[in-house]
This record gives sequence, C-alpha cells and structure tokens, in this order.
Amino acid sequence: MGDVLKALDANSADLLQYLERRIGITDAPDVLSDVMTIAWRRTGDVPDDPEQARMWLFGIAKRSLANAHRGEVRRANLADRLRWLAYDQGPVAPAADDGLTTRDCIAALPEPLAEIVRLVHWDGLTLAEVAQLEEVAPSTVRSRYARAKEMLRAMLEEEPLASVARLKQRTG
Amino acid sequence: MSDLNEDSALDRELAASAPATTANTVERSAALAEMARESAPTNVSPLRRHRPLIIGSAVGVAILGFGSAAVATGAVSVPWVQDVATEFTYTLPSGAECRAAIGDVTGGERYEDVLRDTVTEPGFFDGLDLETHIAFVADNNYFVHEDGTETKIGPDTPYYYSADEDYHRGLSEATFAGLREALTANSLDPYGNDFGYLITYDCPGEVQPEYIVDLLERVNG
Repeated sequence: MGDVLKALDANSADLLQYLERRIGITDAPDVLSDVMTIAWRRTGDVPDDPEQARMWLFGIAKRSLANAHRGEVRRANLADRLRWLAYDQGPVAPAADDGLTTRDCIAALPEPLAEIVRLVHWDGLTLAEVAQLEEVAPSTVRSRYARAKEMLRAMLEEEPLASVARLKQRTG
Repeated sequence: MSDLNEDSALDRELAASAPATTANTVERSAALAEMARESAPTNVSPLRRHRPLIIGSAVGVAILGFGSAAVATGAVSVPWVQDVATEFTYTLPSGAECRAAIGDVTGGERYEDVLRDTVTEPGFFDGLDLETHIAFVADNNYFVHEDGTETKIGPDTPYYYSADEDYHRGLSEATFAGLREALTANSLDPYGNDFGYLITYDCPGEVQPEYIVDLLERVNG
C-alpha cells in the first residue's frame, strides 16, 4: 500500500495546475480539495509505485472534474487560502488571452482528440500516461494524437478562426 | 505559418496555448501541503492512545485497535457517562434510535470548557460531516488479531461489521474532528497527553455483527 500523503505532496502542485487549466483558477482549489478527500478515503488503494500513484491521483482528478462540470463544485474552506494566493499574486504566464486562437482550435477538435493534446502539451503527460488516464489502448492514443496534430496543423496553417467555425459546423 | 509543418513549431504553439495557472510560490506550496494534511478525515491513527473512545457495547473495540481483553471487558462494564456535557440522539441505518451522552472530560478545566461549549452549541452534531467520516472508517476497517496482525474487513469478509457499526465509528471520528477544530481555535492541543472524553450510547434494536455477539458472550463468560 502506498503513502497517500507522500503522493499528494509530490503531485498536488501538478494536480492544481491540471485543474486550473480545465476549470479555472477560481474553482480549481475546491475540486482539488475534493480530490484530496477522496484520496484519503481510498488510502488503501494508493499504488506503491510513485508514477502509478501519480496517475491514480490524476484519475481521481479527472472524475472530480466531471462532477465539477455538472455544477457540483463544493466550496471548501480549505481552498480559500489557495484562492486568496491566486488573487493576491496573480497567475503566471501565459496571460489568460495568450494562445486563445490555438485553444479555440484545440477545443474545436472532437473531445477525445482535444483532451489528448491538452494532456500532452499542457500537462506534460506522456502518451503512455494518457492511455492509462483515459483508459484507452496506447496504440489508439498514438493514432488519435497523430490525427489531432494533423488537424491542428491544417487549421493553424490557414485562417484559424475560419477553420474552427467550419469544424464546429461539421462536428456540431 | 508555414513553419507549422514542423512538429517543433506546432508543439511550441500548443504548449503556449495552455491557460494561465497560478504562480508556484513557497506560499502556494505551503498551502497545498496544509490542504493535503487537513483533507484527511482524521489525523488520528486507529491505534492512537488518546483518541476518543466510544463505548456502550463492545462494538468496535477490537477493530479499533484497543483489542486487549481488558479493554473489551471494560467496554461492556463502563457505566453511562458520569459527568455529562450533553446528551444527543441519532438514528442508525437499521432504524434503531440511539440516545448518547458525551462527557467525562480529562485534561483540565480549559479542555472541559471548550468541549462543553462546543458540543452544546446548537447544531453541532447536525453539522458534522458524517458522510465523509463514515466512508473513511468503512474503508479502513481492520480486525486486530491476538498476535498483532491485521485483517482488512468489509461486508464480504470474515468479521463482518454492520452499517450501524460504521455509523457509530463515523460519528466518533466526526465528533473528534469537530472538537479538534474547536480546541485548535482555542490554542489547545487536541492530541494533548491528558485530553480524553467518553461517548456512551444506548441503541435498543441495534444490529450487531455476529462476531461482536460472540465476543460479548466470551467476555461475559
């Protein structure tokens, strides 16, 4: 059995950033609080291997995000300090509007492809880790990633907003 | 944007598209570390010597780690709380209605005052996060054998426990969590060597696990 506190100490900063990129700086601390509570409740399930423990925590974070997207963000007192630090010290670069066009292009991809791009390029996960987190075969992740980049390259080489609009029309 | 034919350029652009995140500062690291610790439903080890002891039957005594025969014997003979801070009621998952008392505080007058003020505050017991603590104890149930080894127990294992038992223990943990907050706010150490208190309960009709019934029979001869 792994050590839940050791796993949290090693990964909470990355988890917070992962959540901030998905749900925003204001709500991320609350979801992180949920993630930590769930991790403690399942302390017997923490993998011994540090990398596996990290992916186990990201899995909890992913499921907690699903709840948050359903509007179930629970305001936690524990999160107030982190929220206060965010407001007090401000976010780090990139600024909130940097990369907006590229983000729009990513968001215009079919969601399974978009999430692979986010996990690789925003969160620094390897394709093998993405496969584990998304519970998809590694070969599928590799082909989806290649397809995603092919689509992004095409979108960004032409007028990005126009191609986003076209893609949304097709997929929407 | 022709250079986007090269992956390195595309990769840079994708990495740069990440939404803003908060600065990784010493203060934030400290806040995260504190949150990781405070998120634990309880900081109390199941074997902590000074943890509050919930008594009223032998239920939970063995699996909480107080597994000596002496404690088990004490558990069935300890009388109702003598110096009652307050009494309260609750309903178990089986539907059994419980009457409980908390009191017999040790550790000194300040501990006694804070505990009494806290548990008599209107809504204290109603405001406890029972769900979290019950789930925690359900996930951390161990039977302590005479040789000191432990067996994780659950609904599908030997030494089966009941939902009523989980409720009792979750209530005990949640109560201590509430008290811990109040004591800390009053600059008192919740884990102070002399601090202790007793909760006793009476729940006619409570569903008791078979092994507890056996244990009671053995303890009572």
